[in-house]
Amino acid sequence: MSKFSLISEVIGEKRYQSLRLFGIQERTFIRLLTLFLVLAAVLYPYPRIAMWLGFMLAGYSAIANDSIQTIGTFIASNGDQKWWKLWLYIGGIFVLTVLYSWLMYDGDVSFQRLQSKGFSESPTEFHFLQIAAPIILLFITRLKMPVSTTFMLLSCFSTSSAGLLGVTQKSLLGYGIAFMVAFLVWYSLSGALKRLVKGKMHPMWRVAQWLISGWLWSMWITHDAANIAIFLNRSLTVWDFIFFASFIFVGLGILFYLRGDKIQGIVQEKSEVADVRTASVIDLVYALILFVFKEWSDIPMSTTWIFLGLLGGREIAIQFSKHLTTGRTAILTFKMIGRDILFAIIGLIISVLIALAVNPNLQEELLGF
Amino acid sequence: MKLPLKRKSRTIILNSIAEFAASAIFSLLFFIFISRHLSESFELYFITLSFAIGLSYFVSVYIPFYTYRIHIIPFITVLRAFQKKSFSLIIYKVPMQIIGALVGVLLYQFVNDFTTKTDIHAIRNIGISSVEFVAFLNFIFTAILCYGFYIIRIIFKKRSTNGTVFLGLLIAILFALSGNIQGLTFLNPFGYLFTEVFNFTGSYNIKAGEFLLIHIIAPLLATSLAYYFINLRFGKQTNPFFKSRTRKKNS
Repeated sequence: MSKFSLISEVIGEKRYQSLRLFGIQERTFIRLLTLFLVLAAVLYPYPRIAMWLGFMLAGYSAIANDSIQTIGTFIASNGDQKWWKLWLYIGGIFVLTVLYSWLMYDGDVSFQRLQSKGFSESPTEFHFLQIAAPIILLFITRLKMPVSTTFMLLSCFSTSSAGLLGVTQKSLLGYGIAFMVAFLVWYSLSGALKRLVKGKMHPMWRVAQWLISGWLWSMWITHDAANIAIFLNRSLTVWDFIFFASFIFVGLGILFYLRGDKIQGIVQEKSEVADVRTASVIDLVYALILFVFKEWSDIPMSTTWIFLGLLGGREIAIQFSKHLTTGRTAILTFKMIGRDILFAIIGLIISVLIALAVNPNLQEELLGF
Repeated sequence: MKLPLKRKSRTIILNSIAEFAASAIFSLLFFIFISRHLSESFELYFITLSFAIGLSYFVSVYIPFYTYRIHIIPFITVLRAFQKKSFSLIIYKVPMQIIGALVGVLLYQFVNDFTTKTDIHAIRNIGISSVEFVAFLNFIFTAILCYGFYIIRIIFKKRSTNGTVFLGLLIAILFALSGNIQGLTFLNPFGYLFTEVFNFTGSYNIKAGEFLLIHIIAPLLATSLAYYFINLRFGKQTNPFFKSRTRKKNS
């Protein structure tokens, strides 16, 4: 017997039931998010507390969301390994990488990404939405939507539209290049890749995968540590750095214990990523693209968009290749890529709206456009 | 201990903790939002404040416990005790609401000392000289609150997020109508009491009889009236929307 409900009348019974089911399944998570929102509402007027609250929320949400691109394939293909071994390895690389940046760039843990135009000043006061942005990101991650953490977290701190445009342009370019590179690699080397994954895996593949994943993870940190550090002072003191590094280290432990957040499902549905050899090739190409972009310019960019471009190009190449197969029709492959792009665009729209709501400079620039 | 008794004790303990947490969160947010409305450094208009108060009620009920048995406002607890004919509700819920409000107000005072530094009583800028009229207004608003709670929680949706959202809206509307009037404390009686106690300067000249009339007798009379009216109107019937379908099925 269907019950009388105003919402079901407005949005339709089927949608209402799905929403209700989501609410029941995720009730603890939603209650936790509500608590975070309350904390953000209460604490945002105190910059010293708000910056650490924002950092903690951003730290977990950014890593949980971006884990699909970096440690996602590593977790998926190392399901037989103990979680704490994976944690110590990845966590250790994180600490060493940010320590390098902190020592080399005078207390800056973002590899000078936050020295670029529009982001160079440490925040002295916070808007409620700036603290709420990582909470929104956590919610979106739970919906398995691969949105860009860079847009969600950095854009609301941008003091000018030039900074935001620079990030968008570089990210779009990143998507296009990653798409083409992936297509060329998987289409031209499909025969070789098929032979590569045939038969029993050589033990050295495991070593190679750990090395490649470690390199990819450190490359991701050089790009995306800025998303987490944006809440903090541009130059961290020793104690600030210790808290920064240890919090993320512990957060990574939780992520590995859970074997990735809900978004891990995005990795699992792609073709043959649980195989160590396939995962290593994906990670190697991705790490190379990130390395090139890191050396090219200091402007922050969305690594999520690069990853989506990479997966999209790879899926299409496999679809049209004679040697490899996705196991699905071309329409389904295009639908899957389209869905990922749609989610990325939704994330971009949300982040631009937040940036506009937070920053009066951006509002004026938009009105004057 | 027998199993049902054990289960009942567990429910009472969990409900008490939830009531305490919810009251503390509600009082904290209630006064923080009012102080931000009064402070010049925050642009919080009165209508936005009313929605913020409604939202505070929603999150206070939603965060601690998923069964939505939290009342926060003591007159609602009294109404439910009348309905259930179980006065143990008052015994374990009201003291928790008092302690929760105390903690909430203490936290608010701590926050206020650092940021807004406002006197929240400045929001009640519509003074009414007649004590009887203030008591009458408190009576009317409490009756609306209790009746609204019954309609939303019992008739419309017994225990769900939707019901809590609508309750939040009801609280927002009631605050928008009564927030500026001096002496109306029905939405957060213990919270207002503790802020009065902590800001007591010795110049307060209300008589004990007037205090009892405005803050205790009038709202309790309103609660009784609401209970009487609900009984008269609905009796034991819990959900009139399903009446016809249920009868059809039975016949």
